[in-house]
Amino acid sequence: MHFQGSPNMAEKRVKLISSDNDEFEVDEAVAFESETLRNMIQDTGTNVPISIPNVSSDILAKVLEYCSYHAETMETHDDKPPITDAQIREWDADFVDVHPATLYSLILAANYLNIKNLLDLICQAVANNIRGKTAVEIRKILHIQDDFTYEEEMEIRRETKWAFD
Amino acid sequence: MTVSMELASWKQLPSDLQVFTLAKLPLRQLVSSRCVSKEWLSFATDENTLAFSRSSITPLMAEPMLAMGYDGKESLEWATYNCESNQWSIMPPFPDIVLEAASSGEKIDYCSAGGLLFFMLSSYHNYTETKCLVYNPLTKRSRELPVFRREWVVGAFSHPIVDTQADTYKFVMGDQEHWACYSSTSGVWDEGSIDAVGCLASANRGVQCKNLLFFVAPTMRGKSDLATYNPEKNVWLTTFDYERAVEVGYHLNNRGYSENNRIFEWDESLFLLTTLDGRFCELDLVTKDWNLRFEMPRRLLGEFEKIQNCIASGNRLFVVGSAKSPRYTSLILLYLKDQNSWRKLKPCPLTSSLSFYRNTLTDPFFANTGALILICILVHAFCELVDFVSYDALQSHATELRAGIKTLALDVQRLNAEVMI
Repeated sequence: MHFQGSPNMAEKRVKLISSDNDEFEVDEAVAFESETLRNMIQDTGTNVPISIPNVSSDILAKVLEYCSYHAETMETHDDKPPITDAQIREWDADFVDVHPATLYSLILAANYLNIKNLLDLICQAVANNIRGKTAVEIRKILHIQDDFTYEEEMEIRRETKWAFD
Repeated sequence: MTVSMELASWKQLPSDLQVFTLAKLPLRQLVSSRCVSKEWLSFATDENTLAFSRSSITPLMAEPMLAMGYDGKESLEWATYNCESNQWSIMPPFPDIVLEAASSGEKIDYCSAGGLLFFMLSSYHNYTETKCLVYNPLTKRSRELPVFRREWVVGAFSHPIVDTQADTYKFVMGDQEHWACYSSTSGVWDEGSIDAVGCLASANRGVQCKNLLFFVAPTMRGKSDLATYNPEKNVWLTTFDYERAVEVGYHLNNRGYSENNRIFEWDESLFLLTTLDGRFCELDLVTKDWNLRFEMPRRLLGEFEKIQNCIASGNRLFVVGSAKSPRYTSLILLYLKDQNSWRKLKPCPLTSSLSFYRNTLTDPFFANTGALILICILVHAFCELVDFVSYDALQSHATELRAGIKTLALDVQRLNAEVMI
């Protein structure tokens, strides 16, 4: 799989290997979106493929899709108008419109690869999924066990009544 | 553990990432989600999560809550307004020390920033001592600051400054000649004098914007202008440095001739409402120019007896004041930036009864820009009472009034002195 983040062929390319041994090749600028990869590349250079033992190829593909788009938004082209903030927001909204399980995987991957903006985006998406939902609904969505007795729950509700209005 | 699409679930997220996600919920929901599970209760009660939530708020996400305080006789209650459900909620009671002070007739000023409420309790009998209390309504924890003893009469202004990133706060108060500032980092009060002669006499409440505090203050020339305070350096800037005869700081130009004009912060910009024409202007901090942004319709402007306060964040601006009719009720307008539309909020359940002092709180995070200056509160409350109740009824307020009048007399003296100038 190849990600054509930039048509600039003079740029250095980086090889990444997912946990299931798929190989990805991206521009250095794309890999630099990740602090973790940036540090690794600065240590070992771009000649050695970098293995990412705890991220599978499907998730790594998503992460690199995000990184190459955002690396591209930083570039300026004479022949193309710059990408607007509204366009980026729209792209991001499409990007997070996936199955919740994918979101959780992306959180873990973004955390490991240290891509702050991606982590913010995905955590916000998960928060949006439970936004405005009741405690019962949240438990169902996130598969959380209710471990309160009826009395305990009522006590907490009484204490925080204002937040339920 | 390998991350792949099939395996991941919420439970697999380490707790720091769960907390990071929860902190992105609107504040009310963060609190109401305490009853999801025991683990969530601990997440959403923890000071760190709440501090996290405070620091991760961006202007777009902020859910401004409007809080109305009511300090009437033997009572100090508050309610907040939820913009999403358009409901008022009565908030849990304040700490006992505040309620006791209220019932024993002490003077209470309150203001808030960064989700923390700051109370100044001053006894009428011993006006050189002020007790200050910081209260976090979400954890219900409060902390008394060291008692501040001073030679001067209680502050003409007071203002909290909260650094949500570092989770520290400062509390500054003063009168026209003195300032005192408490820092949660040092744990002590700093004191100094204000050289800006004349400019800060009876400064109005402060507004925090870009790490500066702005005050609308009358100048020596009988006009109002802006004074700024840099809390980091403890430096006051007036608009005109009389010794060096140069302009410094920011000023109101021709817009700020009335003390009734209100300044407020809106997503890191400083705005000015000129109450005469209902115009809202934004200050360009670089060129120091005021640019007209929008106006309040005359019809609505005319319904205010007095505008007390403007509170804004994200898409919403609240204008809070007292109504001409029915008298002695509060009037709150909500302006939506994206629709350029105005509407009235439904009345707060606390203000249906006569408010002796009336004050509104808000900060974009939780509530408040705060404290009206003492003189205004007293004069205002006094006039209202004389106006509103018969002489007999006044007698029953005699105790409070006698104490109030003492302070009032001092203030009238000061006002007179200013008029003489």
